[in-house]
Amino acid sequence: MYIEFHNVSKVIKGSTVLDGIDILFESGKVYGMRGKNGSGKTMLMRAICGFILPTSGTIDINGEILGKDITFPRSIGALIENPSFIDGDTGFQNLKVLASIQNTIEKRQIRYAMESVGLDPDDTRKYRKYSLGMKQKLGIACAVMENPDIILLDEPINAIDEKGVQQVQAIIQRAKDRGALVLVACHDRDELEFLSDEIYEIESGKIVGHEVLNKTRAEE
Amino acid sequence: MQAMLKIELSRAFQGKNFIITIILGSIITMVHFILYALPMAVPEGVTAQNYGGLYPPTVFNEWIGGQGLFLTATLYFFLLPLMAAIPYGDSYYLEKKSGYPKNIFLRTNKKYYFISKYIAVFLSAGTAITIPLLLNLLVTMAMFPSVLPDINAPVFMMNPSCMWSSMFYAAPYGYIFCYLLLDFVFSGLLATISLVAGLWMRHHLGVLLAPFLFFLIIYFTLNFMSIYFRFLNTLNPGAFLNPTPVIDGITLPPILLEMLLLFCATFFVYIKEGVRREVF
Repeated sequence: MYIEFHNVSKVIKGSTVLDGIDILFESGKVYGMRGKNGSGKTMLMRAICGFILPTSGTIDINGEILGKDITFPRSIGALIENPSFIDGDTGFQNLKVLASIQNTIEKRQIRYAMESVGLDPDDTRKYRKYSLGMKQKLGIACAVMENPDIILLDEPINAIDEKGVQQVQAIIQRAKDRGALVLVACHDRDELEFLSDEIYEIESGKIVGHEVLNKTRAEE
Repeated sequence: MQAMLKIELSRAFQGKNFIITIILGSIITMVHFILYALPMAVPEGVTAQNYGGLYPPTVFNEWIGGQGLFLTATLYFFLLPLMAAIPYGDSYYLEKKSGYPKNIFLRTNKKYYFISKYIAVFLSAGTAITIPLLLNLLVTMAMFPSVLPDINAPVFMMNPSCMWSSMFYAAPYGYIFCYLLLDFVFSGLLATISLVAGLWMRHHLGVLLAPFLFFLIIYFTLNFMSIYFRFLNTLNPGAFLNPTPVIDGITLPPILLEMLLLFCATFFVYIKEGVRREVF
């Protein structure tokens, strides 16, 4: 599994939000995206999801061109910006409905995804009663519940407590171990370095830096 | 597509707005029954012979669709485009605003989402509008006899130039069924105007009111133009949605054409524009 950007640019209302991006992401790795607000991190994730199409260039996902061969990646989970669910349903009901679209997982896997982020699947509270942190956790559970090949997490630890951060770290590690391609955008430099195998620095829609982290040495 | 349709239908038909619309509509049709039909109740077994030779009060002249010029009936058919939008017409606008479709677009083709939503809005609106009419019909059937309408009785506004007039006198329940079907389809189509409005409008109220505004524009434009071209009034939904023939000369082909145009204008614009749009 790989995602390859070939000279991808995106212009929205005269403003260049992605500018000549050339990157290769490979499975089994965690990639960190660093950059200021509005630098293009989220746009890059939207482009991978197929939410926006490049003005020029192509995005190749495992040999298929996004927007030409496929309209969205075949196996992807994402939390981009704020999580959004049906207010009047519980967390579990929300995930169950979404899981029913592809119908690839069972209830116990939904429960497991919720428990892995510290949410109780039997919680009868409606989504509208959830705290900000709980909403964020549900968004992460939704992104990972179907064990997708590609996982995109945009600011995943926003509003999450310390224990929750550890749970997110464990989820990302498990996804990497099973061979998923994980892309994380985060403002917290230390957190990003802890999570990532490689970090891309993005500024004004351009990749301006690339760092390969020696995780083995760090773990020692 | 099937999974998406199942989700949309269950959300449309199990939503509280669907129930609220049925309750609102039923209040109007039940008030009609209590105010106008109930006082006319006749003993069981009444016929023209034992009713002084006159055509007695029956289901066909006492149900809300048979008394189309009464206040409650006029109100129901006038508010129909507004009520049609309530069950599920604003769902796309609200979901788009919250960002919820992103969860769906990662799991299925965008086109399936938009088609499923269109079908769910259409069916829920049609059902929510038809149920109060059916309820009125059922309670009227429980209180009044189903005496075949008499063409010589001066109680009906129906004349031979009215749409389905021969069916009305030969098989009145068939006539009622056809009208309920017509109201079902037109209500459904009107509700889908809210979906299209949701693509561009920024205010919730505007999205909900869009079918009603469309209805008012058509209503007043055709009314005005019918001064010069009389037949145009027969294309007025305000006239042809009412089972009581409030104007002469209504025929089915122009209504079908009008519905086809409305379908094309809503379905293709909504699906094409919805799929084309990028998601932020």
